[in-house]
Amino acid sequence: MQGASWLIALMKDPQLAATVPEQDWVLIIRLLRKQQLLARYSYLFRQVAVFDALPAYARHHLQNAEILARKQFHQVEFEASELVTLLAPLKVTPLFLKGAAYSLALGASIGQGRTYSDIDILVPKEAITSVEQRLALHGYFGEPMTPYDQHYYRQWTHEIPPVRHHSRGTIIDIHHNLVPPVSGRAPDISHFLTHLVTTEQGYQVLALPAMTLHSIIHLLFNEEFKNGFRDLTDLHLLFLQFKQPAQWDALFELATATGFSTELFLACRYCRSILATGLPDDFYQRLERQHGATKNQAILDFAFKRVLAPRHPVTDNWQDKLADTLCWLRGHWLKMPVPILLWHLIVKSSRGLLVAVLGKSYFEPERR
Amino acid sequence: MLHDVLLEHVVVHSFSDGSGTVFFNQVTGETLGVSLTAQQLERLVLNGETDISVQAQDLHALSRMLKLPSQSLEKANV
Amino acid sequence: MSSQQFLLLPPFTFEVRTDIPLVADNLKRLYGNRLVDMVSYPDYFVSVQKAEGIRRFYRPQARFFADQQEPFQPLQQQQAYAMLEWGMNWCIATHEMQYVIIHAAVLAKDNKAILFPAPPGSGKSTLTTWLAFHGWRLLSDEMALIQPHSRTVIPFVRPICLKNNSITLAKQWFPDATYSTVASDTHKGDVIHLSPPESSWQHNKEPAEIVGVVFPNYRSDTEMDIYQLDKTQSFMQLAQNAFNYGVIGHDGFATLCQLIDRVAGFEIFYNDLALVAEFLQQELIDAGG
Repeated sequence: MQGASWLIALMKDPQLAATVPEQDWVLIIRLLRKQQLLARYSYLFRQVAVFDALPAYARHHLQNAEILARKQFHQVEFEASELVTLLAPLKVTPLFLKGAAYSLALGASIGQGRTYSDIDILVPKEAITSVEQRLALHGYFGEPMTPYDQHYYRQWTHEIPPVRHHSRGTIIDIHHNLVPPVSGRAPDISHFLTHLVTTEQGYQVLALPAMTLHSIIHLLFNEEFKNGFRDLTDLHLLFLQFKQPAQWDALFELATATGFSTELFLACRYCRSILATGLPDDFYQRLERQHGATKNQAILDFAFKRVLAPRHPVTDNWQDKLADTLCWLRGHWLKMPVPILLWHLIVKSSRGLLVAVLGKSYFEPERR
Repeated sequence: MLHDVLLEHVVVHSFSDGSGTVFFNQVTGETLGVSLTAQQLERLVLNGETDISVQAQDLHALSRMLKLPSQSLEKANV
Repeated sequence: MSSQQFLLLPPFTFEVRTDIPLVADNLKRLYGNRLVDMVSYPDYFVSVQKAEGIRRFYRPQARFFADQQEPFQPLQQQQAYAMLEWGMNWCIATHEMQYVIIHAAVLAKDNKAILFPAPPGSGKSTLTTWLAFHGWRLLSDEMALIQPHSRTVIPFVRPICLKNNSITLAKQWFPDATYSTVASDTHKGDVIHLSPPESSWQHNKEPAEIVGVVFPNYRSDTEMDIYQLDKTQSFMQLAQNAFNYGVIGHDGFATLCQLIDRVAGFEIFYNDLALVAEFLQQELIDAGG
């Protein structure tokens, strides 16, 4: 087995780690680091008590990542409580999304070992300026960015440029929707807001089916798949948390109501085919009846099975790169009406040309 | 005991030469050193004794490691 | 096509790729037989590559990568070797969490080690150089790797990074030592790397026990002033120079507390390196630690 196949096999059955030839760990560790999955796998190996049987090389790198992830896991609750306290006078309760939500709500299963570079919150659109101002007053400032990117964020997306705490370095992404409104696909956010739960510690997050759908949208309604496999393992582990038929129904209904049932179908299809994720037969068949007969399914399969695999430039071939391009085009196509898409591509690409001509550092605003 | 008033995730150590005490918040990574022994700190924090002279900003820093609002410490020290 | 080689730098191994001849030459010169063609278990994959773009014709640049990550802005190509050295430090400082890592030089005699934690500009590397070429064993110029809950420091022998005036001094004192080419005008000024004496390389797997912590401050007008620090002061200064102790949490804090409780701490102001060596020998090595 090659490195990438091992990553898939070990996600399905972590017990297999004991059988990995020692030399294969070099590529496995390298791929896991690239996918930011070292800590997640480390915890998986511990859960099935195989960690201690691994070679010293593997244990060394897994444990380093585990220590970093543990620190983040503890810090996120501190950061979350800071945000809740700061926003309380505005009568805004932040809804925690993605990585931070996994840590706050699903610590033992998905949060542990899941690392992320920023904390995502959702607040009401009308409150977004006051939230931004209040955070700035307490030391969270925007990062330097080019005027074009600044404009793009404000004009077209579902979030404002990220803010960063001046001393702790924590980055907060503030959203008012889960999808850029410009795409014409932004759901009526109230559909999601009927699926809120509060964690034991009092943090607001989406209930499991809605959290899963958001994770699906984030992965598949997108043009970049740098951490495609990491995000697929998020879905795999989220699906494993579904215990009642009502949760599957809620997922199906929410996806239909918000117009993301194609994405739900694709997510289920590739979780099944890549990670053999167990999904209820009737649930999957219902999706397949609705979406399975697309003419382009073969192209989608070709592309997604590659962008969602554990990838690394040292193992990539031309088909992998073609898949990246197809998915990049598809992602942009989905997200933007054509006139804006052209403008965005033109600006990005003429800038890309200038970067190619002048060197990358020319355009990066100096940090600090 | 000083340990009873530490914030969660804060650990503390007093040095063998009696030169002072250091606090470490494991969540924020913040470290604070004060030139008071564990006994002096206990008298200041638990008993509110006022013969120990401490700067206001040190008290404020201390209040971020201990389960006491900075005002009550300052009051104790005025 | 860039060449791919490996550096054996216990306790770590690096795969190094570069398409810049200047970098390849310096690597060979400074690391000697620590640079090999094949290893089984590389820990980190680093590369320094020429940057693309028209700029390469009038102001050639180099980029550093730690596998697929690019932690720094591109630098001028004449600085590429220094960039590689800093990049390798970056790998260790950001990934290694099983040692308490202090930004400090470490030198030892009879396996009794002294930590010299110091911010840039304190003259630490000049002192390091002088001691390393006067019978002390260099364990590290930049990073002390301390085993948690012990006083044991693990060597991580690498070239010494010298800046500005100390380059001239070192070359005057030790003209036969092995130096890299100069990287001029970096954010630290002019920079050169110096290969430590062969004896330090040969013992690069032998740990030592820390017997003292000394904070050096070079002062051109002061021959030698020594201040014994109280333990709280020593700890706070040490913590300021700790790379990862905020991340590793309680183990890091406890290790530094125990260390400070058991060894002496000094701050020294000096311009006479022979006097410093004499003081260290008498006060910390002969005293038994």
